[in-house]
Amino acid sequence: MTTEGGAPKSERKRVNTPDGMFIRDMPEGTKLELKNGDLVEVTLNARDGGWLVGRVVESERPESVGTEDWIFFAEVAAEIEA
Amino acid sequence: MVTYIKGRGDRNLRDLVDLETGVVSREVYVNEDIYAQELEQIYGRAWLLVGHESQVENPGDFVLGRMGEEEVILTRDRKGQIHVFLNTCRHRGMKVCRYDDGNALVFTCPFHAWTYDTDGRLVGVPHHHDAYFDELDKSQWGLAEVAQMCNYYGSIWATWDPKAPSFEDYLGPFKQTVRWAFQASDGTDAGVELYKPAQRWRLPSNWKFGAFSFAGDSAHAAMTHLSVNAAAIGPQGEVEGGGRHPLAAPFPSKRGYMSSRELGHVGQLAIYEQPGVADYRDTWLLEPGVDDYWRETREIKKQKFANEFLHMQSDGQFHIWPNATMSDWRILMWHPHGVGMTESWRQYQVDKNAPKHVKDAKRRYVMRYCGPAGITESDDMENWNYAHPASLGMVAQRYPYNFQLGLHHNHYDERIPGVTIGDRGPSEENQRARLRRWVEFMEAGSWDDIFPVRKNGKSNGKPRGGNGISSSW
Ligand code: FES
Ligand SMILES: [Fe+2]
Repeated sequence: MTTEGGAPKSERKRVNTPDGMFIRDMPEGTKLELKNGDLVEVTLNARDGGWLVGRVVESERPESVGTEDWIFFAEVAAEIEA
Repeated sequence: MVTYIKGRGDRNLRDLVDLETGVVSREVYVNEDIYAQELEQIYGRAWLLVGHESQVENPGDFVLGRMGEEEVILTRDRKGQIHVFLNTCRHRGMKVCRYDDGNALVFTCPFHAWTYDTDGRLVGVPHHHDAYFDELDKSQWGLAEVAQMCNYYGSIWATWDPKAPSFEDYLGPFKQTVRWAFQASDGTDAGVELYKPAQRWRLPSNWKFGAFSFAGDSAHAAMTHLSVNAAAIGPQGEVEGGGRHPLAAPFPSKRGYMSSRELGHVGQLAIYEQPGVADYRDTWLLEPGVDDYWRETREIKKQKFANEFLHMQSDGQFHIWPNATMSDWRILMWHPHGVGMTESWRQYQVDKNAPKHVKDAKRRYVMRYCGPAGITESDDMENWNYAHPASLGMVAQRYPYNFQLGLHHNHYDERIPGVTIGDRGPSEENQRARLRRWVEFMEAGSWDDIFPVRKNGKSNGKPRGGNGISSSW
């Protein structure tokens, strides 16, 4: 596990784990766990309920840490307590 | 080259539009096959007015527009660049943007949620990794963008045809006229904004009724607008008999029907006998303080253009081929919406820097005058809405329309090269010029056949018939 700070995966405190995450009003800075296990931080929210941009903070794929990409709400597994 | 239409036996388009005699078959206005060909060969090729930069002032702003029958998104991306996209998702065709206007970071399709950046790039596809296996090349599936776009003094024009000439060349002798239409009243370029939102409604008649009639059918006004003239809707109220237009000071000029036969643009405009701009005449007599603003800006404009002849300036009404009618206070768009339906759009310019009471007064006036509730245009619609169905019948179609008013009574003035002038009373010359360009577009295989129009090297800009169609005046 490559990280950019933050707790290892096992220690993440999942505060919100619905089936379909309601992301529309999530503020930038929110930490999310994706279904692929990555931990991301929201950097931009389209506020359409479908998409936001996240920066990868922790990942099994070291090359992706620090990169930003669009994330579909259905890829989000949990909101992580800050 | 498609020169024939289907229907009851193949006929040449020139049999339907006889410009030598001014006789035009009703089929041109009601035939479904002709209409389908218009969408392809006119709306698929011509430069079309889409909107105005004031509608998308900030990054992420968008407003819907139309090009022919199809809806487009006019938007400003995050870098500030303006774009025009077809409003349809590349996945399964859903209308991507369902709001008439707003501000967005991305356009997310409501169907399967493909999402597009405001620069048109497809940036998000659900399951791109786990079910498309990263094999979908997003760079190939962005929103469809127009082939060319032009921001002309704030007005946004676009064409689907990469071979269309530059917008300035397309305008020919009307390029100053369009520029002036977007000047503030003090003569500052790109000095206006549009009232929001646009007025939009549908009229049950062919698009050419609006687009070609407005191009110069002053013969209708006396009868059609008898009642509105009596109603005193102008800003001056009942002063001097209560017309529908503002009062204006006289200026030595000769007004006429001016057309570019070669390009299809026309206007009811003027040639001036002296340089400069007319004095301002108070006319907002019912709206305190409003004349003060216009008087001040007119003084600035008078100084600015003291030595210039403003021939063909946009104080009159003019028409850019194929479906934009405008002047320095309003824009009328005639969008085809089926052979027997027009979606009509109205927008109105006002000085960006005008104070609120001036903007409000002008808005009240234009709404009295124009649009679905304006009482001048209601008169016009009444005619077109009945002329169309009365032209549909099998027997009705045996009898052509008459476009002979002022036929062969036109002339040329070297002060405005490339322009045919009819100024001996009402004339349908402008409508004939539109029909002439209509035939050329409908016959042409591509832009190569219709531009440049002066293939045979005509000297001094004197207009000719264009592409072999009668040149007699
Ligand atoms: S139609 Fe737009 S995502 Fe499927
Ligand atoms: Fe009219």
